Amino acid sequence: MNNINPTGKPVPKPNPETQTYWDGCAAGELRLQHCDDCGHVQFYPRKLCSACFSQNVSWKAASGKGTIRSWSTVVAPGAPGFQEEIPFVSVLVELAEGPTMLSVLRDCAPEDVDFDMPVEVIFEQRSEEIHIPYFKPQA
Amino acid sequence: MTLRGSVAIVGMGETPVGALPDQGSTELCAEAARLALLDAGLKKGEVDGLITCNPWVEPHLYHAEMFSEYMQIFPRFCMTLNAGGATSLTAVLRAASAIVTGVCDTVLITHGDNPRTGMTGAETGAKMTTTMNPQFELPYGVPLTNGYAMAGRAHMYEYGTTSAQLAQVAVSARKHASLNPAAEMRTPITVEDVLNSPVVADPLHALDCSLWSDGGAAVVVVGAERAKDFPNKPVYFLGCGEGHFHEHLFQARSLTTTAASESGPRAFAMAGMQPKDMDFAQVYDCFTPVVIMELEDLGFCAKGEGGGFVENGNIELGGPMPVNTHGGLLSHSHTGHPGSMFALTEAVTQLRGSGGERQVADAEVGLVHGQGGVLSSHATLILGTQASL
Repeated sequence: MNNINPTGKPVPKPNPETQTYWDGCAAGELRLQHCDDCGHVQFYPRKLCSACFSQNVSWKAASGKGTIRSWSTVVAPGAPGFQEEIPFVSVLVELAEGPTMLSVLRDCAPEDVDFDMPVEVIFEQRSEEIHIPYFKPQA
Repeated sequence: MTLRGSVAIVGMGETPVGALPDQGSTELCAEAARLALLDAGLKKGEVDGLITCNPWVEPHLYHAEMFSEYMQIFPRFCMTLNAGGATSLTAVLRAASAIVTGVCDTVLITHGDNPRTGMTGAETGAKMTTTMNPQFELPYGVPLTNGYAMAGRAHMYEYGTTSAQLAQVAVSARKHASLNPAAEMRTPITVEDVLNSPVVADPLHALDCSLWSDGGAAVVVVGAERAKDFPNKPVYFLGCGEGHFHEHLFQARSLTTTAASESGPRAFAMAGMQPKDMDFAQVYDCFTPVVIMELEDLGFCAKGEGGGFVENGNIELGGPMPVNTHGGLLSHSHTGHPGSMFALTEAVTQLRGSGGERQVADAEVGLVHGQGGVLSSHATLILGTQASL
């Protein structure tokens, strides 16, 4: 079960598989798992490589860069705590390393978003330990 | 061994749909079950298989067991299924498998829920977020509707599908609902009405989105060798297939090609048929772009041509492939997990020839497709009359 922070927004609760990922976010670094055997890069974190089932999976810092696969403006939030932020732009970001993440785009008006738009990760603090990866247009 | 022609639907029941503040989800499930058994001329003691789905209102950890207790039915095959909007069709596949292997003889599949009046808006929102990945989706406050919207927008970008083509799906559904006394929304609408309705998750307008309803529906499945022993015209199981690519949208193999591209061919292969053999298609229409993707992925038209396919009355009664003849989730009702059950009972209605004003002429074979999650679980079922065997 997720904790809820004072703003009411959900706070992810890391588990043993995801702790390294969230530690990276707190350190300002987006971390992805790379398979030492087949080279597959995966998100979200797993105990094994989801491409070849190898157990030799290593964490590496990602570039933090990606492009927008699609987007939609949120006017009715799907969780508590976001009412003051609407409208905001939900995005599916394809990371340079391959995997896709759901996130929210900052510093960009909804009418300025476009397909394949280059974006880069930023982090917003949600609680003492948890920082959430968001994206903004690449400078 | 094949399941083709091995079982038949010999009973169906539908409760009213819409806002039903006086009935809980268990009551709706029970009423649908009672009506289906009445329709089949069966006594409750003859039911030895039971499949339910967990409703959002009044869920139970062991729902099917709870429901058998509630009804005082004592089955030897009892399961609660959860594949979202694909649940009802996966239930028919499991019923067929259980009957053919001798596990049981008479399966009651019944679903009911009342999310419209049984939950507050906040409760519904909170329940919907439980389908989200708690660490990698939920923290962003993005609702399911925007997930479907992003997939729809990707289809528009990749294939040139237009908002007017999305709107046409809703217009055709409403036209069919206008002919169905049981449908919730029966006043005809135009493409302009859809495009002028508020944008709820761009590019989706309010009228691109399905209803939110209370209701329940049920069917009874038996072995084909017994099918003629019942009062109504039997509807035979010809083929079924499932496809599962992801649970969470960001893990999707494609935003624009769904696992219907696997469930459909599996169902057609079992039936020994092709899309052109179908007399109608009831396909999951929680949001209008989903219908266009499914029609493509099921093979009713080439990939990317779904936008054009839904125009010019092609998916309306009298056209080459009537879609959602009851009005679909867009205009008949969307009762949550039981949603596809009404597509299934509509297929039975059509194949019995009892569709009234909305009857597809000479309907002998039809397809039902369900989808759960965010384009996640897909199941395709092909049904037919005695003549199709």
